Amino acid sequence: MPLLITCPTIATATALATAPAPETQWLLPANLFRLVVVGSVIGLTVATLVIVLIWLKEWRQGQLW
Amino acid sequence: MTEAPLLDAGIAWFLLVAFSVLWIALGVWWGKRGKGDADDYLLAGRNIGLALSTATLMASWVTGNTTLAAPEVGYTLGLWGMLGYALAGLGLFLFAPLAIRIKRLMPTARTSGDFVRLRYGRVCWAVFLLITMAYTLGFLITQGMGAGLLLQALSGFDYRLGMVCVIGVSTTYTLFGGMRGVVGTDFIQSLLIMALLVLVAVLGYSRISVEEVYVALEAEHPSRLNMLLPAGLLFAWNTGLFSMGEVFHNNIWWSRVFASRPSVVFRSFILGGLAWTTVPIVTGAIALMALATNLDVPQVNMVFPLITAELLGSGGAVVVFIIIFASLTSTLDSLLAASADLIAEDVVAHWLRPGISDAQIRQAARLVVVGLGLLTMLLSWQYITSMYQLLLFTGALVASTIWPIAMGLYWPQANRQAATAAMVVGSITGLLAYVLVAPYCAALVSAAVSAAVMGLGSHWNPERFDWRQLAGR
Repeated sequence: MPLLITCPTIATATALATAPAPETQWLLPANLFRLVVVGSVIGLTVATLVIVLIWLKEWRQGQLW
Repeated sequence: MTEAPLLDAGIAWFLLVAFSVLWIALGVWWGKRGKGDADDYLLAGRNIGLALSTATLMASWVTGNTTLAAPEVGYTLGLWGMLGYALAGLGLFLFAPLAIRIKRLMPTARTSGDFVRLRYGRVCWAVFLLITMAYTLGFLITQGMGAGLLLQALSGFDYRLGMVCVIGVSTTYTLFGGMRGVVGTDFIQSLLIMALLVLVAVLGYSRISVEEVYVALEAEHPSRLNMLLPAGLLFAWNTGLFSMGEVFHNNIWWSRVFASRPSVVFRSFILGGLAWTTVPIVTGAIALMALATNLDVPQVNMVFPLITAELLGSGGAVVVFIIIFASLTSTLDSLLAASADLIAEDVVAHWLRPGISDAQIRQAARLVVVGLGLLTMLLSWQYITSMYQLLLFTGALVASTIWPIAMGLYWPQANRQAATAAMVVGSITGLLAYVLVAPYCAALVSAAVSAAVMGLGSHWNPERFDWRQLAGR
């Protein structure tokens, strides 16, 4: 996304986040937090490898361009 | 930006020169391939495979913002900031079915402007061009300003030197390489960004474990783990909507549709969206380590470079420099190529000089690339905060185009007067909402009003559009 474009939203959201704590809250459990962090890193790794593998396959078959 | 730079000036100069030479050399090399006609220069020969198509979508969508603002919202809002930012991937997912329909209906088209002109006529086309040009220019300038500010903060470079270097390099290889050079360098840039982000995350979390970060957040910053945080939910909703407006209307994405092989169009948008969605979550997760380690962060938008340098030392600063330089150049080249495509095809060939030859369109596109590069440098010369205010409005503009484009692609009754009114009224009400209500309402109000105008206008006065009219150019 373009640089700075979302900053007003961020500023507004930050102001809201630093406001008095909301009465309703549900903290993500530790196991789900781990899933988000580790899952995203694994997802990015897999995505990188998939693009490289597709590139290799298309390169061998002369279908890159 | 008075803090000491994270990277030694000598190393920064070496990296800047090395990557500039690499991108320009590759751009020139790729530019010499192909048939050399306008389709080759503007659309890389219309036969890009899945790997390059996915990578160029990924690289174009990862801007300096993704590597700086996504960690910022992770740091300030926590999980909803990261996940909300990742919703910007929605634009790519939702555009996938539209992309395959565009490819089928418009096999010879070159721009998003071609669709609006053929579908809704010249009045709507003029309004659309105004909206997309305003947005694109703002986007270009923010990338230019961002380049100057980031290189200054990372390496101590003068603001103007960094800005001119990044825009100059992107302009040069786009000029000589055209879309083929842009797609080729995007492939390498996207892999660099992805692989280095994985490296930073793995090394960072090997120094401080996920459990330690969780315990620290739960004890000292529980709001970052709160999945019912109202601010986070608002942020997520607005981000998803904004991304839809941006992807649906901008020629960056349309040019990728026209440049790709028909069999890969749908899959490349889905794969590109999936790959991109992981980036804000990973960068946000890296930023959470700053909270867990109580790192002093004087400027919150620099949290990603600061925590990376803190955890990985000078090697970390080098990695950050490469990631940000690749992010900025890959976005600038896509913007320059897609805008040159749009101006040469829509403004020059269909408006100012109808009937010009293929070679003249190619030449016009090259001149536009140079002109846009110079204009971006000129408008970014002085960093002004009012530019920031001006940019706040663009969410309202782009959101007004979502429904005219989506309905126009699927609904033969979609009416041209309604489409024009939807864009104008949607933009105006979105801007009013921004001023009178709140910034995050702008895109929402614009999209809602535009949908109502488009839907009701087309229902009351339906058009009987013949899809075969889109097959021309």
